[in-house]
Amino acid sequence: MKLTTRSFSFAALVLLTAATGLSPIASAQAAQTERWLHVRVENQVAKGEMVRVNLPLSLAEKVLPAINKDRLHNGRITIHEAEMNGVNLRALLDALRTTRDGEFVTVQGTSGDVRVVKQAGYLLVHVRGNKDATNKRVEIRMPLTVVDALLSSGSNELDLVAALRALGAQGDTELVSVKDEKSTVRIWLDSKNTSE
Amino acid sequence: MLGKLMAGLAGGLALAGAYVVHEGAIRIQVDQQSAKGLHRHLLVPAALVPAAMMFVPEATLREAATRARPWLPAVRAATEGLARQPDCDLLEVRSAQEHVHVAKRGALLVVEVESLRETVYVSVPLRTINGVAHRLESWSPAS
Repeated sequence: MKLTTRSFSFAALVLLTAATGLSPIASAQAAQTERWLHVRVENQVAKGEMVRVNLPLSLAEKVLPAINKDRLHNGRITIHEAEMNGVNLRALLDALRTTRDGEFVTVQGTSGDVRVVKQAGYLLVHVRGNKDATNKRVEIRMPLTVVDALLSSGSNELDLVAALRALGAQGDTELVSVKDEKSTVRIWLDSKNTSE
Repeated sequence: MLGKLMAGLAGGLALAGAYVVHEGAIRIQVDQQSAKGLHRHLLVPAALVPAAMMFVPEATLREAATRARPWLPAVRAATEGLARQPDCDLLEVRSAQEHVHVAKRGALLVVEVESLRETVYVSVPLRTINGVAHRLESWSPAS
């Protein structure tokens, strides 16, 4: 009889341990290596209005291939040239990837300046609105390894999962920053699970 | 004889208790701000969800499963992936009227909505969401 009671107690103890004890260890291991994509949008006009998103890249890598709807299949998005106003996005990105470092686009206008630069493994886009016009500032910093990864699948597809993996291999970096009088938008990558 | 029966019953209860603890609980709190506002606090063992699903009419379950079908694998992948993550705030939306907060806390997905009219708090074990998605997938026709 004692053996029966002990067996039940032991089984119950094992279940309780599994329920409460093991998950923090797995979580701690994941925390050490995880890369996080952060998005923060703040409204400057209505103080206190904001949106914050913190997304572990490994989670996005697992979820994206599981969505098979419309153009998204197995973590890849199908692009139709006909629907891109005649622009072959894949050819454009491929040309960008293979060309030498340099400044591709420079526009200096009355409403603002635009610069598109390939430099040290990054595609950089700077937009600055003139103070008289919008006073908007846009900075985009895209690692070219991510562009490579995007193009790594079929001819009419962009591989989003491969791009996420390439992004995960980057160090802490700010990808997008947009500032104007009304709002600020930041998209960045680091190893913290908070956006503070 | 009676002793054996009692020991068996105690062991069974211990196992059932361990199972309920293991599966966690679903907590739903709705508090309306007005003086005569609704205040509902529910704490349901998540272990009851599979049993409760058996009482849902088949047609309703099939329709829900068919509609949700494209997203169910993603829901399963998300819950499995989140379970391996440390506690984190996934989404926060704050406006003058509303505050929405989605977070992972332990083995739970927590959703909090605070508005001028009411406060809603829902916490569901990730394992339960995963289980429901699994079950719905088995009901829906393959795409």
